[in-house]
Order: sequence, then C-alpha cells, then structure tokens
Amino acid sequence: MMTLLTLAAILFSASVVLLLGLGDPKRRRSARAGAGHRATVRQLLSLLALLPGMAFLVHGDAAAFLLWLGGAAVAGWVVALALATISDPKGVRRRDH
Amino acid sequence: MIHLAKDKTKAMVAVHGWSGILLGLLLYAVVLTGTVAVFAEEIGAWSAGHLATRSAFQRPMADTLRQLGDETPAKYREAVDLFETGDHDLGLFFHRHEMDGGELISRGIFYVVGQDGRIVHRQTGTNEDVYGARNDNALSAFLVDTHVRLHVPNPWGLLLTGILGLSMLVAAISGLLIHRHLFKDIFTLRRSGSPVLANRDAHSVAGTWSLPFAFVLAFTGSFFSFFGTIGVPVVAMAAFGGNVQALTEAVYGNPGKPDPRPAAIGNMDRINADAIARAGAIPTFVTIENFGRADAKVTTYHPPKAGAIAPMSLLYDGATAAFVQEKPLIGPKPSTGGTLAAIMSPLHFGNFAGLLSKAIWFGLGFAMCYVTYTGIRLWLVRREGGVRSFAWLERTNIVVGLGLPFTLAVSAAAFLLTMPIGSATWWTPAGFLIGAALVIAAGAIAPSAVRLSRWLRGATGMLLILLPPLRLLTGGPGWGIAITANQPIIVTLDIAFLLAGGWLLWQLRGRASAPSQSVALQPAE
Repeated sequence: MMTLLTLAAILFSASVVLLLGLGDPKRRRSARAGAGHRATVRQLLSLLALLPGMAFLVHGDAAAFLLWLGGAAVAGWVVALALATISDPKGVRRRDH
Repeated sequence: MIHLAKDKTKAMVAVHGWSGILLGLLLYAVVLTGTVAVFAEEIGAWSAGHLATRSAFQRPMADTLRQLGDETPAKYREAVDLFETGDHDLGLFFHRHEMDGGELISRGIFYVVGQDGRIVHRQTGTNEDVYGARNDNALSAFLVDTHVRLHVPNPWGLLLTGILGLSMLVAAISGLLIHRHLFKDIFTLRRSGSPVLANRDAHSVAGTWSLPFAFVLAFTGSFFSFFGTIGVPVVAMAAFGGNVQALTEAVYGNPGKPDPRPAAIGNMDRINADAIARAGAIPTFVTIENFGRADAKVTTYHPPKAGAIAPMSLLYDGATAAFVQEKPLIGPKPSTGGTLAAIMSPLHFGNFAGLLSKAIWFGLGFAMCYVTYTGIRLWLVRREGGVRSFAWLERTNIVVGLGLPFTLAVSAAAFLLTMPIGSATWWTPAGFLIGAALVIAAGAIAPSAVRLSRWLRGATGMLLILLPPLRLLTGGPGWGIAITANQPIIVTLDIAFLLAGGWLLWQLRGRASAPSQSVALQPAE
C-alpha cells in the first residue's frame, strides 16, 4: 500500500514536471517553439510538483520522502532528455558518437 | 542562484574541471560498478539460478546449532555468525576474535547447512575466507569488490575509493557554485548547438537533477571507506590505547557482567520466529556472543520496517531465548550518532524499500555516470584547437566510459560459462581482464574515436543480448520454472539485458555511412 502511494506520488510529480518542461521558456526559445509559461504559472506548477514531498515530510515518512525525491529526480532527467529528443531528433544523432 | 565574483568563479571552474579530469575516470568506474551493484543480490540469484524462496531463518535450525556447537572446539565458541549463503542455505561461522598484523580478524570453523538440514560444507579459516567470493556468487562479489576497493589491497583500496568519494563531493559543491542558472537551465538541452554547448547542457542538466543525491552518495561512500581505515584506528588509539577489539566491543557489544558458567544455547527457532514477528522481516544476519555460556547474547539484524530508513536490530538472551530490547547500531541506548550511523547504509545502497528503492538508486547512479562521462567530454571540447592535443584523453574516456560496461558483460559471460564447472571465482575476474584487454586493443587500433565508440556500443549491445540465452544454455532455469518457483527476478533481469542490448544496437542504426567526427575535431564554438 505504502509502495503504491509512493509510486503514485512520483508519477504525480513527474506529470507536473512534464508540464513544466513543456512550457519551459528557455527550452522553448532554444527549440524555436514560441513563448513558454509565465513566471506565476511556473511557480504554481513547481509548488504542485513539490506537494507530495511536503506531505511525506509533514507525515514524518522519511522512506517515502527519499523515494519520492529520488524518483522525481530521475523522472525529471528523463523528461528533459525526452523533450530534447522530440524537439530535436537530428541533434541526438549528430551529437552522439 | 549563488553569485560568485568573476575570479572566484574562475577558480571554482578550475577546481571542478581538474578534480574531474584527474580522478574522473576512476570515479566513473566506482560509480558504474556501484550502480550495477545496487542489484548485487538479484544479480547473484539470476547468475547462479537460485530458485529457493524460503529463508534459512524460517526453517528449523535449533537442533543443528546445538549439534554443531558440541562438535566445534571450545576455542572457536567465542561467537557465532549465522547468515544465508548460496540458495538460501544456512551458514554458521563459529569463531574467536584475534589481532593479525594490527587488524581485528575472526578465525574459526564455517559450516553450511543445506535446505534438507544436512551439513554440505565444513571449512576452517578466517572471516576473509568465509565472506569472500564463492563459485556461485563470484559475479556479484566481483562487482561489489570493484566498487568498494577497485581490487586494490586493503587499506589502500578503501582509501582510494574514499578519496574518490571526496572528489565527487568537491565536484558537486563546485558545480553548484559555478552554475548561475541552475533552475532556468534544468530542461535546456541544445543538442544542435556547438559541441561545447551540447556537452555543457548534457552535463549540467543531468548534474542538476541528481545533485542532492550526488552529495548523499559521495558522503556516505567516503564514510564507509574511511570508517575502518582511518576512523576506527584513530578512535582506538585515542580512547582505547590502540586496542581495536576493545573499541569494537564497547561500540557494538552488549555490556553486562560476565557469566562464564556453561549453559546450553536457548531455542534458536523461537528467537527467529519472534524476531521475524517483531521486525516484520527475515533477519539478514544473526550474531551470537559467548556461545554456550550463561551470558550468551543473540542479536538479529533486519531490513528497515515499512516507512523507516534505519535497519532494525533485536537483542535476545542467548541462554533463555527471551527478548531483551531493540538494539541501536552503536552503544546500548539510542543516540543521534547511532541513528546517523545506522542510516548511512540504506542511504548509500538504496536498499530500504525493496526493488522500488533499488530501481531509483540505480537510475540516480546511472545519471551520475552520465554526469562524469559528459563532464570529461566537456573539458575536452573546451580545449579543442588548443596548443596541446588531448586526443589520447578522448580515446581513454571512451575506452573507460563505454569499455567498462562491455568488460562487465564479458565477466558475466565468463561467470555463466564457468560456474557449472566450479571455476567461476577465477574466471569472472579473468573474463573482466580479457574484456579490458580487448577494449584497450580496440582503443589502440580504431581509426577514429567515433569508430571506437560504435565498436564498443555494438559489442556491448550484442553481448547483453547473448547473456540470457547463455544463461539458459549453461543450465540456468527457464522462465516458466523461475516464475513457478516465485523467482521473477530471473525473468526480469533477462528482459532488462535484452532491452538494454537492443537499445544500444538500435542507437547505432543507419549510421555506418554517416559522416562522423570526434569531439576534438568538431568546429569550435
């Protein structure tokens, strides 16, 4: 049960991180994809992504907090890689050896 | 973010770059083997085809323990270690403690009791013989030993990995200080930009996402390396007149009035059942102090309870089998230091919440390997066109960065081929050395860095795909048998190897004729 709850928290934060990445102004500028989210939207989404972690902290569940933090970090990196691959597939092939 | 003056930033960039360049390749080797070793237990079960799922601590052992206690010479009954070995067999190490060249060792008789209750192995030796690599765990033991001390003899190997951990800490702190747009750049990967920009983005994005864990893993890794090599001798010298055994007893032992009167050991089956019920988990290790005496003490060690990080230890009266108390890792009473020491292991190994925490720690380790590899590439592309050529370093980076996964796969193949004939402890490291020689030879003869990279990726991909069929051909259990035996990890790892190998080969598709350049030959920014 606890594992499922932690997994759900990681998935929730990863989904919000995906939204953040999709609307990230600097990423969109470099991909020539137009303007991104406004600062207020980004701040709200960031807060939303951090909510599960804060809940685990308040609840005093150290294991779930660590799992969420690590899982969200890995998911964030994967989201950044995936968005770069989608927006610039040729870049991947050119850059890699 | 943190804004430093220009000259300080410049100094930090130099510290960051040189710490990475001087020790980055060794650090990469330690982090990569550590990443794989997160699944050492599962790799052990996969490689040896272990199918038993019932723990030795769930089977009756009380009579066997008493019988072996009677058979063992009194000089080796100072303490007993009980642990699982092989395919859930029970290992019992009756021993005494002694100093050997300034090092505290255990010497005694080691028994292995099979699942049917019969003694299948008996050996006289030290803790190094008992806990060293065996034929059926040679692969996982090799991985762990590479990560812990790079196969350099103690204490130098541990000191080396401790220094590498500190260099990772230095790189993480200096990286944090020099990155001006930590959050603004967190999704920016300009792969079509200049080589400097593309490598900088790849390095900093992975580094930013994994930054908190770079601190945690580097600190805890250094702690483990320096604990026994520097911490224990220094404290023993300062507070125990150099007596390491006295320090160990004071820190980890159970204080009490000695009572050397002979007394039979209590019912171990009752202790095991009670410990499993209290901790909610099977013990990973059990120790008995003063075996056969009235003051015998039994300590059971368990994984953390659900929702906790710190492992759990329970103390029992050895003669009566009565529960005494939950035991802190350090000292007889709970303390902040004891709790901090107790959480070092789960924080480093990520083994506090089963496969989920291990999978996450694997992902974080992989991100850190990527950060180290791209960091060296970034250092190289920034120096392209300079007075000195670093083409040799670029090749070395590829040989280590892409060659190490290949050599690990070769050692796995060597293990699978030789375990059935009982020579895996020799052939697993030999396979690694053969793989390393092949990679170095490829590095020397490859016409270009790009070609070398393609060769290594292709060879690693093919070898990973070959591992599951090789396991089956050498007598490993099939998927149906593994699932019926409730051992799905064997199937999971087979699929993981097939996917990883397939992904590596898929990446190489259609590039054979594409024009290719090494990072050092690409146009400068």
